[in-house]
Amino acid sequence: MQEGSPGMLKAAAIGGGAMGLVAGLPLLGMLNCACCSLVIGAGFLASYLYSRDCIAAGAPFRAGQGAWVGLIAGLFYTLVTSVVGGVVQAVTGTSVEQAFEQIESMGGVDSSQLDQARQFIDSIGPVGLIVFGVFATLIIAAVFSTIGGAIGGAVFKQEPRTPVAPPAPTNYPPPV
Amino acid sequence: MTPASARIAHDRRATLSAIALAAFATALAAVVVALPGIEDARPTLGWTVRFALRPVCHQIPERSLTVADVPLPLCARCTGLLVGGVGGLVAGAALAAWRRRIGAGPFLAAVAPTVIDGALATVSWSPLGNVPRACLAVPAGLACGWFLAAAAGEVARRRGARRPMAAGAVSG
Repeated sequence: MQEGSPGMLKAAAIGGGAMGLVAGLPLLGMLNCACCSLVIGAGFLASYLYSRDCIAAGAPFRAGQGAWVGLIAGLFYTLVTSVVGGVVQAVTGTSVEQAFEQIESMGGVDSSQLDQARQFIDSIGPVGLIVFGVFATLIIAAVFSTIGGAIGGAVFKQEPRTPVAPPAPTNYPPPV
Repeated sequence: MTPASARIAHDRRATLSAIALAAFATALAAVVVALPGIEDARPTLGWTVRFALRPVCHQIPERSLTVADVPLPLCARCTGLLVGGVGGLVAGAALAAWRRRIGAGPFLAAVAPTVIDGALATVSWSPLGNVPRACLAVPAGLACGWFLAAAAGEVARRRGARRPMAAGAVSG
């Protein structure tokens, strides 16, 4: 972070948290199927919010800072979407087998792939499944949220304000 | 190193980083488009590519473009985004996107159609076929690719500018 720049945590928490909340919800979470749009959106939103903070503080905002705030937003995204997704799953009572049935009903998935996935889930157990899910989400969120933040950094980039020189004195003393 | 030659070196670094991104995206797009043709001969490669792309796309065959009646490993919208992204990255590298200032307006205008289409599809009302859906996503991909090239170029330029000058170099 550059000297005089505001903190990134607030913008990252709002951007990542908001998109993570949306992604954890049953229907809206499907928006992620379009090239991880919610994850990219998390970084982009965090980048936008951070650019506002930088403008307010009179600090520059550049693509590199956008990428950083996007990366941090990805961490918040993972945290929030894992918690919200877990709560939704607990409330709706959707089991892993039901999730598989939904995927099968959507079509387009090879049954042998599904069997391999079932065997994998059986072998790692429920705790392992949660850890694996959070870890996979973390990797994807880190990559795509950073991309979203970098794009936001290029879109909302802000050059530093040039300091205004004080006006030259006009009341010179009379020549002696 | 004189300031002028340093600026040229930083610009070259920026161009190289954007070209590297464009090359990666082009290779990915080539694999995606060519996969239906090579999948029979190399099933392991086909399975690996489809599995690797699974987390970023639903890959539903009915919503994917086909080559020789075999669906691509990305849906129509993601294919449009990828193809547009390649175009945006190449254009950004060629036209030095990091030196230009394009505001948020054009970006949002380019992204809006596919966002609206995606939102409608989420609530199970999608009037578009696969080809229009892919075409609608191309401007969004172009915009994302352009700004990604701009970001990569700017980061590479600034990293180069922060590096200390080589020992013995005479500052102009």
